Amino acid sequence: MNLVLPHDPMRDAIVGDLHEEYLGDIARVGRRSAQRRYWLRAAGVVAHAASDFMRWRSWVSTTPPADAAAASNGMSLARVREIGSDAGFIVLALGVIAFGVVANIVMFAATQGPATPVANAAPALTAPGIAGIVLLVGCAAIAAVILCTGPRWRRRHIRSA
Amino acid sequence: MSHREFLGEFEQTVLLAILQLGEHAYAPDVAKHLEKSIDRSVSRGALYSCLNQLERKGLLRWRREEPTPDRGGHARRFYNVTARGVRSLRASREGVMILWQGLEGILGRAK
Repeated sequence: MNLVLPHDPMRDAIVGDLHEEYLGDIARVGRRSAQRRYWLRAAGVVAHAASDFMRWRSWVSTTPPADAAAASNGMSLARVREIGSDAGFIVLALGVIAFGVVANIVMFAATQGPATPVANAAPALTAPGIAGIVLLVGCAAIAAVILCTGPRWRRRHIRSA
Repeated sequence: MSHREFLGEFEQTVLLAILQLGEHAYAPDVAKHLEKSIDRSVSRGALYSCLNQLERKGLLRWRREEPTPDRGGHARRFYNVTARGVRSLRASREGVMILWQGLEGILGRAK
């Protein structure tokens, strides 16, 4: 449950609810049945949380009280996913990657391309040239547009659902 | 085009149960209330997912009670329906009532 649910007051409440129901079930139906019910409920919670997580609906409190802000500072897979859904972060990350790729290609083209004619160059050392750079930058731009509009579309979709 | 916010059937039942339970509605109570009142078994996962969605839509707000030993030291989380939640429930009821009108001959009158 700690892996699937984000570090949030909601997780604390869910674990407490399951514990409370487990104790109540022990008194009513006995320990074995209570254990079975507990694991069924926990499995249901994990399944739904994982399903929501895949649809970018992390179980994170939206109106936390003051003490919840400190509690939600912990890093978890869900938190990483949330950061990943931020359009600014995606633009920055893609920008850094695109800059690195382009800088690498430009340096490679500058040192290997003009010095060695393509016809005589070894295939492994053939520089991609301007066409390759344009292609890579174009792909990065398309990916950036898709990734930047994707989270917004998902948020709109969630709001309208 | 209408800008009313309609709710899903399960969302409506959860919001109504929270309203009926009053100030001390928390997830296990909501589930038990639904099981007793409309004889509907509620998966805890579906319930928490629904509560999360309603909270994100601004139809629910929550408050935290201090942790107690009978909960293994974990806090309890009580839910309240917001004014927006009440408005959404009204809109959903109106929408459904409009569709129900004129069908008494086929479906019979409500008990």
